[in-house]
Amino acid sequence: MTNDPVLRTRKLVKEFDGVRAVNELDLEISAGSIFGLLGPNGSGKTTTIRTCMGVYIPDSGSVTLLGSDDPLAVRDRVGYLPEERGLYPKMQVVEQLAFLGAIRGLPQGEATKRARKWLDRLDLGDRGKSATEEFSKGMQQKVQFAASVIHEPEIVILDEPFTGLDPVNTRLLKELILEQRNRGCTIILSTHRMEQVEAMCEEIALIHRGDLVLRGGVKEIRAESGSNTLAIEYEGPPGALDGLPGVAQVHDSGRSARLQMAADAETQQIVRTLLDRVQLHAFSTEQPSIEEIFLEHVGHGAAAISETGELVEEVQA
Amino acid sequence: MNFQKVFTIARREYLARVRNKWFVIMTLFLPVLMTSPVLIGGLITRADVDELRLLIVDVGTGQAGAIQEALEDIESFSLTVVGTRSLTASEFEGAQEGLRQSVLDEEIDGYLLIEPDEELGIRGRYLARETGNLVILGTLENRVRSVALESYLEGSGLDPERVNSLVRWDLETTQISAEGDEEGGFERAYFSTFMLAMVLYITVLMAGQQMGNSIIEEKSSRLIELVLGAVTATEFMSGKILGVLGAALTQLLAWIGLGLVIGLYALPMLAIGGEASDFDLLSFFDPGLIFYFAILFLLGYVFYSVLFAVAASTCSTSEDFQQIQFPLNMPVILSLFFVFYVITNPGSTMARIVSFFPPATPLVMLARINVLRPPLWEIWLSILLLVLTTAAAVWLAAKLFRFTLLMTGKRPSIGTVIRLLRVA
Repeated sequence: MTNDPVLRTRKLVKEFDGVRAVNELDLEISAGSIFGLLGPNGSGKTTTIRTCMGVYIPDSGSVTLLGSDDPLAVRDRVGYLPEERGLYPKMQVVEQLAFLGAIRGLPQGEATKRARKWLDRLDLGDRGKSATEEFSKGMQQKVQFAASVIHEPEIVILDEPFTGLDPVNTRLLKELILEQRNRGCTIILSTHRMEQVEAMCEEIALIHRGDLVLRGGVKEIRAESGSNTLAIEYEGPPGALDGLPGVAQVHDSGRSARLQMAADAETQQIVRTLLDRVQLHAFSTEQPSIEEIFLEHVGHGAAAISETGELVEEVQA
Repeated sequence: MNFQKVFTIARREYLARVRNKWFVIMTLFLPVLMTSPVLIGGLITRADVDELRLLIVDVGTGQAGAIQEALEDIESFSLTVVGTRSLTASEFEGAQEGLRQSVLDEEIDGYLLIEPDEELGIRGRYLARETGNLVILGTLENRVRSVALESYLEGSGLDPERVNSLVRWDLETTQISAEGDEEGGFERAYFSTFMLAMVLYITVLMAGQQMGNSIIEEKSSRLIELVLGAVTATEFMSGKILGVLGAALTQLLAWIGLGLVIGLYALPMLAIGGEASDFDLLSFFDPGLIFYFAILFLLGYVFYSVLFAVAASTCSTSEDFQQIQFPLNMPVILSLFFVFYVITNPGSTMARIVSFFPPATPLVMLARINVLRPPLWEIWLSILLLVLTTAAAVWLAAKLFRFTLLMTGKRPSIGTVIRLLRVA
């Protein structure tokens, strides 16, 4: 493995009917990492991924995937689990998995062999001959994940891989993803579920309306944002946290809350005010979570996002 | 283009198709269905009796012996003349009830009543339990007629044989074409054209429909996303079309095989053929016709599959697809109507022009080839035009698919499609 990035984009632009879904995006993903590609719905994540894989041709800028300027030339070394995913309902699961391996360049026999092995691994070995439609959604999702890595790719792009999974399967999938990483595979995790990003990703990029708004290591980003979050546990009347001086934003969960302090605010002052208003059980200052950083960057323009998102959808439709 | 991937897609498509129960049903039963008019017709006109025991009752013509003689050596069914009775009119009055009873008691199957007639010489009536069998009636009619004719012409110096032939005078036809003139009936061309056109019509529409449905399935189940990460839209569509084509070829070969079995074994076994019906199934197995049929079948199949694929790729649900069914089916339906026109007016300018219109070529040119074979250059020009149109359709489709396959939501307008084509 070299230190060259496995994926690099330079001023990548993709437009649909004059609307920029991806705007001069510079990305760099180093080999062997778990990389989080974050962004609200309609922010251009899927378009970015499709363009990086050669499904779309960029309007300008460049994509270098595994050292090649032509993503199609290296597509068999890449795995992809799209957010919108499906399987042939009538096809036998083992055939299906083998088919998805074969279109990634595996010889038919080898693909079938690996398909069986994967089904055993997913505890579905005895059901290989069943039609896919007889499988639950969670089972199908595991099969789809297997399909994205059956050819042992060097990069695998997972778009919202945990959606709809129960805790048991979520844990299994996490294990499987880590297994791939340990094999040397670079993982690109596209999601808007921040707790997974914090738990798994080493580096992230935050995309908003086609623009890259934040990039770097998860630790660094959190550290840079400073210890400006006050986490409290409290009891108090509704609205008691409204209009606290020195607090920029409140994320109130009812019995606990996270208060984002303004830059020049003093923690002491805020705590004093709180003691007057509510019954305070505990408090601590923390680094902001990725979720808070995410919201800070994109939350204010939520309405505008959905507008843009719909616009992008319509253009594609 | 990566051919291993194209082949993988084609393989899946092929297997999904040939394992489909409707494919199996169509492949096995269409030949039976298509030949059933012949089979049924043959069975109806076949004298399905073990033995017909017939009594000849002559009421004053004196021709009983001649008729008995004329009824010997009938081939199409087994007839035994159990005897002849010559009666006067009043004797017959008395015997009538007894004769009736012996038919009812199945002592005999029926009797042939011969009476004198001023104009015709002999009047005949067949009285039997079953009088619906056209072969028996036709045979009896022919044989008695020749006796009547013979007795009328007796002493006139005219040869009854020749007169009989003259009565059945027939206009013969010869179809003149560059490949060689062919004597033969109009019915032959009519039936085989109609049937081949129907086969093309049904299979092309079904293939298009299936192509559409499978793309809708792949789109609506979002499977397309998984696949398009690994193969390009062009590879994907090429594979699908190849798979469809493979299935079509399988079907075609199965039909030819089944057709041969039916034509060579089943029909003779049922004693249907030549004499019993005007229709000769083996006329389908004119190598020239099969050759052109195969070419037009395959091209038509691909052309319409691509057309349906493009249309389906713009739809997100099968409801969307239903809505555009009618305009899609129109060219095929119109072509079928036109086939009827071509059968009666094969040489008309209209027929020639329409057969060069690529969407109509598979059906209409096929009809022209079979009814009144056009010059070679016309056939191959129409095939060339169809190939070029199909190639253009594939090319356009490949450009469109990159966008339309990943589209969801409402169906794009024609304007959007044209815009997509411009930017693609």
